[in-house]
Amino acid sequence: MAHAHADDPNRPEWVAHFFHSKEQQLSAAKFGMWLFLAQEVLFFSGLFCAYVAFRWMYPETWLSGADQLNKWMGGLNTLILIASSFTMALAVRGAQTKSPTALKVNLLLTILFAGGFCVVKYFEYSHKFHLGIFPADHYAYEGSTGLMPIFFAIYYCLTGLHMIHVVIGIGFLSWLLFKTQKGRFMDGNYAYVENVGLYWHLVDLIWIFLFPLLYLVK
Amino acid sequence: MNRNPVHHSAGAAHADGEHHEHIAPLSMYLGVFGALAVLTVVTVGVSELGIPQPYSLILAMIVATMKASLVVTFFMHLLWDDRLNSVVFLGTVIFVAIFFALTMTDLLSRDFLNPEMGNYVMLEEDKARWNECMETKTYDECRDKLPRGWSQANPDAVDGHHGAEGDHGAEGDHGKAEGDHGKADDHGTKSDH
Repeated sequence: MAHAHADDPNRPEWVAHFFHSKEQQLSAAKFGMWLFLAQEVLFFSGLFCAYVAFRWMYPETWLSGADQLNKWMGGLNTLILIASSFTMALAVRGAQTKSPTALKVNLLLTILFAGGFCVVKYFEYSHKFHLGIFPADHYAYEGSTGLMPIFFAIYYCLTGLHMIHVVIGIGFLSWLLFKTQKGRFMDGNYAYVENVGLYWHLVDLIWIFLFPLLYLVK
Repeated sequence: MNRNPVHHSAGAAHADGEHHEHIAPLSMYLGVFGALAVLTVVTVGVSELGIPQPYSLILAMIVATMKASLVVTFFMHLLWDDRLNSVVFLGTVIFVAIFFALTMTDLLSRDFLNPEMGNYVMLEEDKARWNECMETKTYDECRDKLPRGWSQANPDAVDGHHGAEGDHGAEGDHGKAEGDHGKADDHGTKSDH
């Protein structure tokens, strides 16, 4: 142990030698996460931009496209995601207050809400597939014509990409739960919990805009 | 990140520590959750009122922005974080706005700059003329049946349109508004039968 901080008795073991303090290490990790989230927002904004451009070009298609979507299911999913964001925030608080029970319970609740979101989305998708509402060229629904395939191409890309993020989030949340079970994150080194939390809130944030834009056009 | 690295190298990390380990009370999280739930119910309820476009869209976006602000400020801790994280986030929002503004400037000015070209969308009449020509002639012979700008800008896309929407030509007799500036509106509405 030849590094400069070896003599500091208050310095936790998990702080890397190239950081001045644990605070610096934690805030560096968080800053990195924010840079990643910035990239995520810009990456989703391409699809949102396609939405804006096509909606401007085909306003009536958008109005009748929203008729095919069930706003109550979308609204239910919005509430589920908001609840999951709430329990995620409480999970981070559990890590801050060094309470393994609060952390575990809230992580588990977050995973359950995320699963509930997937179930509702599964019913929505399977209902549409049953009707023949597929994206772009595969669109085969009799009830409406014109440029609806474009609306549903954008609908499936936006909600599908969001869904992929939800599934990845469930993976990270389960990993956090597993590590918590093994006794991690109780020593003040909860950057992972905080960063997965930030990711999860971003998934919620994107849905907050997706929901009114797709389901509540009228 | 440090706003003041010199401070840190001196060994006093209090300012940064306060940022990172702020523990908000449970009641605050509950309040934010309640506000988000209420705003969700409000935005669904407002959509039932039948407020005309574009006001309903503007209203829905205002509510969504309020909800997003609550999530970012409280759930994502930007209120207590190092300001650098807020700068990253707000910078992202600004760049998204630039992205949207430039794209829409392009779309909105196309008709103005090049009236013949329209929005890269073929009108039903053009499509009917094109399909009729292609039944007996080759692609090159039919090129002059395309709207100007289309064949130069996007020759390959024509066949895709032909296949996907070949039977939409029989629209009756509303003639194409030759060269007038109401053309852009036609694109939006006519395609939706």
